[in-house]
Amino acid sequence: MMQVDRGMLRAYLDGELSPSEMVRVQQALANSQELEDCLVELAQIREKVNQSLDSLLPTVITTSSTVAALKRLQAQTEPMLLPDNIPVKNVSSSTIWESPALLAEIKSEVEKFRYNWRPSMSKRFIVAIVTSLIIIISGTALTLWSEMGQRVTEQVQQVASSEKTLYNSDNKERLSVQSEGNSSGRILFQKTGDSHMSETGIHVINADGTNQTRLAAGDNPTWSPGGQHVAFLAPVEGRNEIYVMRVNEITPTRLTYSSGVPLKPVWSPDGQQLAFVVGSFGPNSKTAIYLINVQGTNQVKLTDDSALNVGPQWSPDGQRLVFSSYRDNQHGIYVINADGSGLTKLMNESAPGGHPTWTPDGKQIAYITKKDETYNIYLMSSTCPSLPEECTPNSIRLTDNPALAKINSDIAWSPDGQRLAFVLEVAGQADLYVINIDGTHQNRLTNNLNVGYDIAWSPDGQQLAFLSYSASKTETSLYRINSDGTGLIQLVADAAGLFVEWLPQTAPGFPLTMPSVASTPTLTKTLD
Amino acid sequence: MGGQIPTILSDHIKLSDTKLLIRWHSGDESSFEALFSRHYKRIYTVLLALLGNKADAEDVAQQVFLKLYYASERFQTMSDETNVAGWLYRVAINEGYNTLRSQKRRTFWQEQFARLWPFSVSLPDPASLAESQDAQIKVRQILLAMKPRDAKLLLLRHAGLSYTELAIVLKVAPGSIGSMLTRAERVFRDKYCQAFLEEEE
Repeated sequence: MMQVDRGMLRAYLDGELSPSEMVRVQQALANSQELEDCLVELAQIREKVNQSLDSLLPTVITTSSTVAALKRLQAQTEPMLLPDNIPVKNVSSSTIWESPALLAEIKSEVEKFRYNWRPSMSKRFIVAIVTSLIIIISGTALTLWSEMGQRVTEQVQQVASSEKTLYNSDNKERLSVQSEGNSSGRILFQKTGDSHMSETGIHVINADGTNQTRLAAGDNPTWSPGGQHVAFLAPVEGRNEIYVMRVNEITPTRLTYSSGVPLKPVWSPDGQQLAFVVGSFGPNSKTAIYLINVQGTNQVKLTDDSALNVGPQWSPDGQRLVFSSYRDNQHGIYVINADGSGLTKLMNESAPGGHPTWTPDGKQIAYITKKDETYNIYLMSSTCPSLPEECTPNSIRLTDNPALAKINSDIAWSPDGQRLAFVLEVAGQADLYVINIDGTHQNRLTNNLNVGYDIAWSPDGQQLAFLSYSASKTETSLYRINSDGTGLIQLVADAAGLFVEWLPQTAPGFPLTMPSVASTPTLTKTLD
Repeated sequence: MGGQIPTILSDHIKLSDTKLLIRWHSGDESSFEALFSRHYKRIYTVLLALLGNKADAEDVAQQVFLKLYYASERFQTMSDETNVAGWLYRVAINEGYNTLRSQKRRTFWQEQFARLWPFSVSLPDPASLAESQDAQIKVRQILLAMKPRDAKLLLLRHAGLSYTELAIVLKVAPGSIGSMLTRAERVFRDKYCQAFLEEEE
């Protein structure tokens, strides 16, 4: 009796056996009822798995045509292609002078050179030839690189002066970048990454790129104005709750028991309270804004939850909050006193207006509106001259963005309140922009860097920190740039998450080396 | 690369993948286009099943062919023509699998983005998810919970790859595909039943 195993039976079902093997299986089947039962069972399982996998595909598969996909590919390869049609070697500029391929090329050229020339040749002449060879090869590499249009590296190259070595989490190599070395303060960010789960969580790094430290598990970190606390979100049974960590303490305290805080909480200017949103987002989502004391006491519901209420921002004096809401099928910007009284609708237009922020003097509110598919920043008075419940204050358009441009970020005020930074997406390219409060000097700082949503000014207003996301939009890198667009530095490569805050050096901080904090599940267990 | 995309690549139809690569390297751009046209749709379909949406499937398919474009020097010495297709599927399933894992994280991004534009960002409402979508999510979760090689095997077999092709893509002996499939399907069924049992609880 020939041996037939399940694998062969399975292949028999799929018609994947050779004719001789097929005969063998057929003979075996004819002689064994058990084997036949086995075959039926295998066929049933195959059928069921196939049904499940069928459900993954829509009944009609729609795709842009193959031709369209090819055109897209060609558009992507075209600018990278050299005239002689050789695929470009992927040389990143930060390592361009250390590229192993390049070094090997240089070495082999030198070897050839040695072989071809007699030892009697004068040393000086050899040096001259080798030098010129290196220059030629380097020149070629430079051409390759500039053809690639790597704008990141171009900008990094502009930066002169002292060298600093930073850790590149992506390839575990020491990444050499140049730094101006005059940055102070610390930058708070959230690190993500499947491959480095132990590193996932809230991190702080010196603005000069040194001393990266992990603070805690969680996301949406935000530092209190006095620098005494960090508030952040961590999941409890799948829903985020607010935790607060005191300076120099390693155990965070759970603040909310609200079954879901989806967004970053917002500190009051005196650092005593947090405003936060409760609820979840969906087509008919209803969310409410709450306030809570930093000790976890006195939680109050500031708005009702019959509508979508988001984006609370404290006035600089801490007396009022502005937020955006969608009520009665209309988008609006509302102001409310911190004690829950005096709700006033400030903006009521058909165009969606969002993300209001106070000017540092508290007299005006900046917000973003989309009109004719183009996003712009506007300024309006924060008080209502006529009707106390509802008014439409005169608003001034600050930006003059090109048609279809989209603002993709918070509005970030410079510490002196004279400038605003924001992220503008024009023709699919998201870059960092700065504009004066009088609407003059709208400058683009980055050049096609896929800038992400969070921006932070340095405490001295000279620099900005921001995130640049990868093409897949699943990873970000943390960058720093001067507010005039020079001095671009990559501080953290990949896995830099979403959130950035810049803290002054003088603010009381965490100890430089933090003991590692337990991962979130343990954390919730301890605190519940 | 560039120029007109030929609508008829009749000249190329008879040529093997390897021959097309060689011709492309000698400067014939349309040979790459022929390779692309030959494999794109199947690669895309595998990725669509894996990733569940058109945009991601197109993006990853794009990455796969870009890799071919820049890595093709490696194929110059290749003799076995099925290896080009094998390479394409291997890259596609690996990239697709990585993307599937990162989709979870991207959902988080979208949620965060909603804080800026809650009015313009449409997020899936868990309660209103269609039942079919629900089943899809479950199947993908099961695939992610399986050994990657088993999940890839099931997806590629479902996409219609022969045992020989599967053996090349997964770098295993052709004779072992049958038993690998049997095992992977059993694991899938067990996990599938388990998922529904948990739902009943």
